[in-house]
Amino acid sequence: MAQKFRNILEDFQKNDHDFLWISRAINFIKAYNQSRPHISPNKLKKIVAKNSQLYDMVKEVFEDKGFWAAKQQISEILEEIGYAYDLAVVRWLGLFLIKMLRKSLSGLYINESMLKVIASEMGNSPVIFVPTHRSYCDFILMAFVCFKYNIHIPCVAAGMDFLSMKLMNKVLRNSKAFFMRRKFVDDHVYRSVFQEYIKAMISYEESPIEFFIEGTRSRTGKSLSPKFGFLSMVVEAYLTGDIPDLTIVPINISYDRILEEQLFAYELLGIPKPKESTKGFFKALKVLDENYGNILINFGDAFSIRSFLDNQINFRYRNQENETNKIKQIAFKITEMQQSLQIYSCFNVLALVLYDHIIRTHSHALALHEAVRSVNELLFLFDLFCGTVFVEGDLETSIKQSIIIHGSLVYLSSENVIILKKPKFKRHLNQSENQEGCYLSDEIIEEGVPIVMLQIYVNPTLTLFIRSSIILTVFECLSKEIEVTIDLLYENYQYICDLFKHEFVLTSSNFQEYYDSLLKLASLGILELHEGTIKIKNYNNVYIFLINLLKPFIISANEFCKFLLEEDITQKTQLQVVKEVQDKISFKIISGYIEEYYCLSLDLLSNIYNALSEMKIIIRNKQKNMLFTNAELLNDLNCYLCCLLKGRKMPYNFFKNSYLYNSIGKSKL
Amino acid sequence: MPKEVPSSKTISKCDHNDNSKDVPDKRYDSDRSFKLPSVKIQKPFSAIPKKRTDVIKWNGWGYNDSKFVVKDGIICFTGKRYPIGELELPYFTEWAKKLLNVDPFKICLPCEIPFDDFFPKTIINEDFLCEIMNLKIEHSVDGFERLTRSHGQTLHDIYSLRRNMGSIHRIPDIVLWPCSHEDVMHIIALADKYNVVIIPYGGGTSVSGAVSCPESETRTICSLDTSQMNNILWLDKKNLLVCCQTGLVGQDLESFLQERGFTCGHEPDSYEFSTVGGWVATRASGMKKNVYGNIEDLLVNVKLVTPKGVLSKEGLYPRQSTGPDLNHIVLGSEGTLGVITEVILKIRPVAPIKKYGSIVFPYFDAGVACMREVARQRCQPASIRLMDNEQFQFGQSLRPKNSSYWSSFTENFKKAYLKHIKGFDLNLICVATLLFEGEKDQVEQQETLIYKIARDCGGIPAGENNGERGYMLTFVIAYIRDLGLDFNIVAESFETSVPWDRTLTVCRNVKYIVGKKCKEFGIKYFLISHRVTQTYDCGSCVYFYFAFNWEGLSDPVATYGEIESAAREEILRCGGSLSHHHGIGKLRARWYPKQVSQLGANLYSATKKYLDPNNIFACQNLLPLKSNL
Repeated sequence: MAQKFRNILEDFQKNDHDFLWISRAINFIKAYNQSRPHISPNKLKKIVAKNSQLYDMVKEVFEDKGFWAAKQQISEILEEIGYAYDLAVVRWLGLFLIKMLRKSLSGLYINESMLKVIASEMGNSPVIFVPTHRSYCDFILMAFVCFKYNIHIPCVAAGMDFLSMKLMNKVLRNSKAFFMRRKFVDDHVYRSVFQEYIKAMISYEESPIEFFIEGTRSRTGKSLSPKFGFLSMVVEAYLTGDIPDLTIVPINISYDRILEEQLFAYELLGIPKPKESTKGFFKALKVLDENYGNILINFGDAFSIRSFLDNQINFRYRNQENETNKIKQIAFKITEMQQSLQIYSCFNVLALVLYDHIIRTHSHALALHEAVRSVNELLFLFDLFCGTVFVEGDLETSIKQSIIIHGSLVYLSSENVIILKKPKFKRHLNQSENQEGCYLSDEIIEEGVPIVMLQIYVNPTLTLFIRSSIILTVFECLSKEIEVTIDLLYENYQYICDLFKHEFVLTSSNFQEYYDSLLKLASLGILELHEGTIKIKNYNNVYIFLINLLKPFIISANEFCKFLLEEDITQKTQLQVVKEVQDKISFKIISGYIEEYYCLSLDLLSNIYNALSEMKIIIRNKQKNMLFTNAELLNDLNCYLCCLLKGRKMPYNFFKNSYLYNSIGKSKL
Repeated sequence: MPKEVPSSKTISKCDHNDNSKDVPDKRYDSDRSFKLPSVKIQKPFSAIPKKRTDVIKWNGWGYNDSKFVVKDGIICFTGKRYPIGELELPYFTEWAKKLLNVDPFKICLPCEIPFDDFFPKTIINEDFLCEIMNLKIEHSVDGFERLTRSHGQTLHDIYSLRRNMGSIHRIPDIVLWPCSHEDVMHIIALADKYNVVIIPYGGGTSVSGAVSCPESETRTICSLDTSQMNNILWLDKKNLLVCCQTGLVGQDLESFLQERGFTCGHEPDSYEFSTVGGWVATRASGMKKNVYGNIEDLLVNVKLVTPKGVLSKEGLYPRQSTGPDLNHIVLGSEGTLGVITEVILKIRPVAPIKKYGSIVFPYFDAGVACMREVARQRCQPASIRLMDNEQFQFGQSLRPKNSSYWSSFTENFKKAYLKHIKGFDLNLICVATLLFEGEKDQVEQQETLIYKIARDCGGIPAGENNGERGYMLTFVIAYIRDLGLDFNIVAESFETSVPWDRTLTVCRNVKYIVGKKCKEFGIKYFLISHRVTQTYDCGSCVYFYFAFNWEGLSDPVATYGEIESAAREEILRCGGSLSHHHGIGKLRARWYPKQVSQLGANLYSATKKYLDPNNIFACQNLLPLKSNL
């Protein structure tokens, strides 16, 4: 597996060749050859500005102000969005990057053969790169890789935060970044202009286009639920016949160590990220003096939208509902592919070992030899669950190496014990003024940050294990009086899947995946499948390991339910609710009632909130702008979660009139 | 069944308005507009004799003496009929080598004319044949005559004749040569009586499989060859009308009229060989339809002989509000309802000025924008066509070395000017060819307007010479396929009509889908090219050319069929039609009900069942057999 990756930094061993390399003559490979001359970025904006349809769309907004006001606003928005291109800037950026990368990385690995295949098949339709988004480095790296392989650097969707950075915004814009406001569903003019711009870009641009389906950097190391907005604009160009097809390339960028790991941990606990500024950027460069280990860019199989949609979509008679469904399917397919492209580092496995150790023993220290043994055991499990771990050479050396790389989180004591570090936390003064300020005490934050940071490295692996983990967890609380059939377990499994739909991007309650997980558990000797019934055979180490994985998530959900049962939320916003739940959990941590700090994660709590509103447990009345809860369903969920946590068995007929009961009823029909 | 055969002896006075006596003028005291002439008609000169293979190929396109051949590794065109005749074409040779990987020394000769025992056995209804002989209608059961009337000009037809003779199983059993409407009426009555299948055959240029025999047909199949029904019945100079029999070949009609200062103006690319009846039966479209109209605009009256009688309207009215126009049941009936025997067409005085022109555009989209604008302003010249870059390059290659007349487009036009001053990329440019017809000032006016629109769309006028050559090559291009088949190249064209806002989508997506399919089939060398050949108020007609080198494929025709089907599906999905002027035939029958709605298909079926209850017109065009009966 590892052989297909090549460290491209090996090509840049000599400093003095850098300049030669960046200034080389390049005949860029085009993603989309068109039978018309290339359109410059400025011309593109003009084409959009001239679009009479666009003017018709925004006309009403400018009712009294007239044509020129509309024109003016359209062109202002276009100036804000539009990318530019200056090869000189790209070349200098390349020089800067190669120096930085050489200093701070051990290796930048690419599955070169796949990239070459993709590049060789480019030309007939627009190519969309869809990488995972874990760090700001993502799009810089993508541009670098394309530049290295003589592919036109992609036009990339960037957030508005960069616009406020002086100089940097220019550099980015000139390297084909276009800027996208965060939420603009209600801004009719902006939305229309942006849509038209994207459509024009897709149809006229010859370089690849890149966007992040997660919409923002995932702070947790897990995939975020895919967003459909940008994707649907891109697909729209195909459906309206402006382009003959679309080639989508899912990409996973796996980091040994994420540049922003500490910031993310703070953010998850509720301390807002500093505003992006150029000054901040140069400060951040100092961070780059440390070693960040390897970065692996794994290009997935390109797939065509045309083939995916096959003939199910008619260009002439559009069907909104059908299209929306299809776009969702595409989005989830991309996320799924990105997940399966994940390459795990040694530290991901080590983080799992440490996590398991902490949950079992509450100790933040683990002897190295024990760690090595456990990592070795886990590698077998990764193998079974089809997770690829990138280990070069001897395991112990690799583990030691990864401990050095993650010096900000762990260190190896002189007694060869791995110890989790505690950061020194200084609350900035101005943050207390911030509305979104954090309620948590400094002690909680200091204790919490390393645990959350560790979880950031545990999280990517959950994609592999979470289904099995859910199966075992729900099995725990099923009544012993009755036989547990595959179907019964599946219904319970679906219930919890729905609850964590956003947390783990459980794309569908797909029976096949469930059944595969059952078979894996059976092959591990944990379960026994016999004529459609399931028995737990062996409460072994792996069993405990898998059960433990879900623990903080279940606790959070349970606390959330309790909060909803106790408090009146009618006048509150989502953010307030989430923050107050976090606050409540923090009290329980202080009083020793809860031990898992990751329960404090705002991301986790918001995901639960969203799941609860989809499960109709939290209901928002839009007219009155008030929140309500469905007491019956809430009670059921709460009891269910309590049972899960305490391993208590519950009677089969527990869920009368409830969500689960209904779902069982439906599936029986 | 009552049959009225009009007597040919009715004589009435002629209105002598002009001095030419070779054709009778229309008679005003006649209540029947088609009534037979009183004076002996001098048959117009016929370019194609009764034994058609004496002049035109039995296994390919066009005249026997005109074809592409390879001499010493260089492609040449033989004969003197066309301007590129008897000239070496080195650039074309290079083009074929480069684009389609043709090896000019690796020729695979086509099959010879088969021996008599080769032809499929005849199924003869003796009683029928006997009655036909009694009527003294000419007939033949000769194998070769039958074979030459068993096909049109689809890739499948020509490939079978040249490369795969063994695949020919069902051909007509008898060939009949009626001379008049009355002959046809007798034949149809007998065919209906003896349950014999009739397939009308005109010029044999069908590209929809319309004249081929259904393999499952067990009845006697008669090919009704209309070639001897080629009389001009009368010419009405006052009303500008001509009445003729339907076996008349396009070029014969045209030269007859031209001699007298008139023109029909209907000029499909096949007009050298196709017949008036064929035009009506397929709903043909001519190159100069902007001035003269398509066949449905030209057709004033028509006679259709069906087993139930003759369908024909009364009078010579310019327009009627008398219920649905029944001419439109005949137009596009593709031989499934009856035999078209006589028609009355509009004619025009010959235009004093005929002028060519051309415009070069930086890229295809700009050209389409120009065509759209021309259509919006309704200022189309007689013809305006837009070729894409592939076709432009191909057209460029079709010129001999060292000839000033044939000098390349860019030589004509100063390459440097295009490239450096206008910034055109020679690999992207495309060319529109124009044909103006009319009075001098009219043409001048039109030119000014069109070139202005062209400039607004980024185009530059590129001279008359380039335009003229473009039109000249139209008739030569059809000959290339026969050569290609000798070098493992299959080629075919297909067309559609499409609203303006979907025109580019259709072009782009068809190119894409063909490329994709070729890749799937492992086809390395192929050419897909398109041109916009007609403009209408609300859309255009797009013509596609597709050729590939079939090396490594076992059944190139089947592969071609699959690719064209995929392209057609894409065309329909993008909003293009099933056909603009080629017709449905058997090739496109499977899409027909969807195009006209199920009710529409049923309506057609009901008509068919009424007019032809025994299904003697069993060529299975439009609707396959099952839904027909």
